[in-house]
Amino acid sequence: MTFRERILTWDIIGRTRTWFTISSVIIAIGIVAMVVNTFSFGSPLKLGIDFIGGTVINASFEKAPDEAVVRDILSANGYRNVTVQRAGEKGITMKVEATEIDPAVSGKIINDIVAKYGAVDVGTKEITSIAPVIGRDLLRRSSLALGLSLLFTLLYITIRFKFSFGLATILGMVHDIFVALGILAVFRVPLNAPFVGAFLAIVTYSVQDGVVVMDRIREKLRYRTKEPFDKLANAAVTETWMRSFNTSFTTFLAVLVLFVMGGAPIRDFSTTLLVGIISGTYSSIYVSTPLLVLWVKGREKAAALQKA
Amino acid sequence: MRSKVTASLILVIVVAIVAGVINYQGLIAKNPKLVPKLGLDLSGGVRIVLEARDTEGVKATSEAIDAAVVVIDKRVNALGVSEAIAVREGPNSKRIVVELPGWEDPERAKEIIGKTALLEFKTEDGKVVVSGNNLTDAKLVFSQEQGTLGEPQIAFTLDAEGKAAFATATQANIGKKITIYLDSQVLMSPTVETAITDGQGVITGGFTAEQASNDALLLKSGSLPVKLVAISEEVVGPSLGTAFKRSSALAAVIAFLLVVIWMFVMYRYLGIVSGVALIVYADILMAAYLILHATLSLPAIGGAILSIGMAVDANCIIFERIREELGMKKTVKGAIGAGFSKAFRAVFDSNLTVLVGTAFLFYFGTGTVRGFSVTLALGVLASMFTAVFASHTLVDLLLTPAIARNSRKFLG
Repeated sequence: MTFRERILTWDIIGRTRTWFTISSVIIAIGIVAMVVNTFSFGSPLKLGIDFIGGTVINASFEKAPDEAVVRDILSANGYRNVTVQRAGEKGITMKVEATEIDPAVSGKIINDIVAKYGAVDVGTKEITSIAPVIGRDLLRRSSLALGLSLLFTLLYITIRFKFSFGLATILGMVHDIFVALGILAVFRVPLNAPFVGAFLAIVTYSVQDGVVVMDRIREKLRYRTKEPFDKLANAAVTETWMRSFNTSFTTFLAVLVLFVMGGAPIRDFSTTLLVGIISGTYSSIYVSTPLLVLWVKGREKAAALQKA
Repeated sequence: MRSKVTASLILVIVVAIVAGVINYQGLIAKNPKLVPKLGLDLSGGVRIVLEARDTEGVKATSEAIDAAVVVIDKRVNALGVSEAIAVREGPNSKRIVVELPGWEDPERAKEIIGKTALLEFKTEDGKVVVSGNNLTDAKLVFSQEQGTLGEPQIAFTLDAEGKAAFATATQANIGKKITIYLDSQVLMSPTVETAITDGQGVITGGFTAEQASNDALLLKSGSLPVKLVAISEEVVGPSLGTAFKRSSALAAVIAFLLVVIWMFVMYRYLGIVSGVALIVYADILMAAYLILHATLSLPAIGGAILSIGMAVDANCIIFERIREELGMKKTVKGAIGAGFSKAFRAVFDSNLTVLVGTAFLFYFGTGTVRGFSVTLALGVLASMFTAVFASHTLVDLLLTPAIARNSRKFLG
């Protein structure tokens, strides 16, 4: 028996309890991490300066700057709670959170450092300064956009399929969001603007993957004989299993390259994507479909009771 | 059937060639209308967000903010930055976003963008006779006179209204002082000797050459009608941008190769088809970016690389379906026909679901979210086109009688 033939014999729906346990444990770990974070750091996730506001200045000078001296320069300019770190050979990183270094002053700070350590290398200079109000705006509007887009996706699937199909797909996606948020919470990865993109990708991916499985169930329902719904759903997921795997694996490869080649700035971004792809594929087979089966069987039982 | 294949083939070839020409023009011939627009993170440069604030005298009204955008736009273009942008964040927003790709000096940018630059000529009793709005030209010149020889000055020319007002005022104030203020700071306070009727003059204020040239630029662009405060700035050094650009381009190529290799391992001949389809897909997608002037930033490129993987999805759905149909003891030809037609609904629904989602993301989102939804929507459309037209046509072309007899070679 080839691997492909063996897949068709798997009883995925029959092991619903196992899959739900795995998902619950992973999500529970994430929720515990968020609760712990809330108590020890004040927020469930570590939000980066794009969302809470703040300033990061990165620059290299002719001579390697001394951290203590740079700290003095910053406090002389009115910024005391700044994290200062050496970066690379002659570089230094200055970071302040929740309040931004006034753009009118950032130039003066750099000039003060230049006065002590020589000219700044403009090629690698980086300043990101976000006012807290802008960060909050971004967070609010992105969440709103995400929420509304989910709502309309549900509506669309309901029109094309059935409400139960849409609900199962959306719940699978909520699962993926929780898994990704949980992992970000456990590792306290600072969330910045690109994560909005990563999240959108996860959601999109999850929906797309789910719809293909749902399509197969829909098709099978059309030729349904006396077959019980759980058997039918199981046949649908096992028949589409290889496709789900291959699609995810190719996407996974592409993002893995991004992870390896992209360097530090997009490493967190691509890690989130990798988690999302794995979770998105898993959830459409092992979460959404079993949920749909539970729903449909519940309805069938209720209908049978009514008849009796 | 045959004629349908020919028609699709012609369509695919025409679209691919048109896209290829667009890509050649934009990426290699550097046709200015099609050169890819790079985000700040890839091109390097300065991005500043300004917020309008009410002051005692002036309220930050919507009209004033719109007028300020026009003034800033003139100023940044006068700086000589190509592709400089100044836009209001939203129709009711008090914020103005200014982007200067490739610019390295945030200090000079902030100085030029944020300065009110209100020029006023006042008489001794404080009456404003001429203001910056009456200027038609202002430029840096160097003094030709003995004593101040070579000192930087600003030469200005007044419009008709200003010329008349200035003539009347100088006539009435001979022997008195007329003081020139820039943002309430005294630049100079000369005593009027004769009436000036030609509407021209020079301002000397102990400028350095750079100050004089900045101020001349500001005066020519007009003064800001509202107080603006810089609340956010982002500066990306050009060498960082170049490094990102190179590594993400390489990442895209490697990702492409890995995906094609995997598809070949899984689906043999059909895998090659998806490789070719992927090239057509990338070709069309790039051309779409160029035509629509989509901004390529780091998240957008991440999205594009992700979409390579997603583009393969349609092919996977179809090929798996063909394999299933083959398992039902159909002929290769029959299996391909059934595979494509049955898989179409899954491809259509999954992609359209994503399109519905992106439409709302675009409508309600801002900045990053919008860029992402545009990239994604284009990717979905291009992949649907290639899956429906290119893949099917290619598979039909590959179907020689020899392959049709040996289905294992065909699918592995």
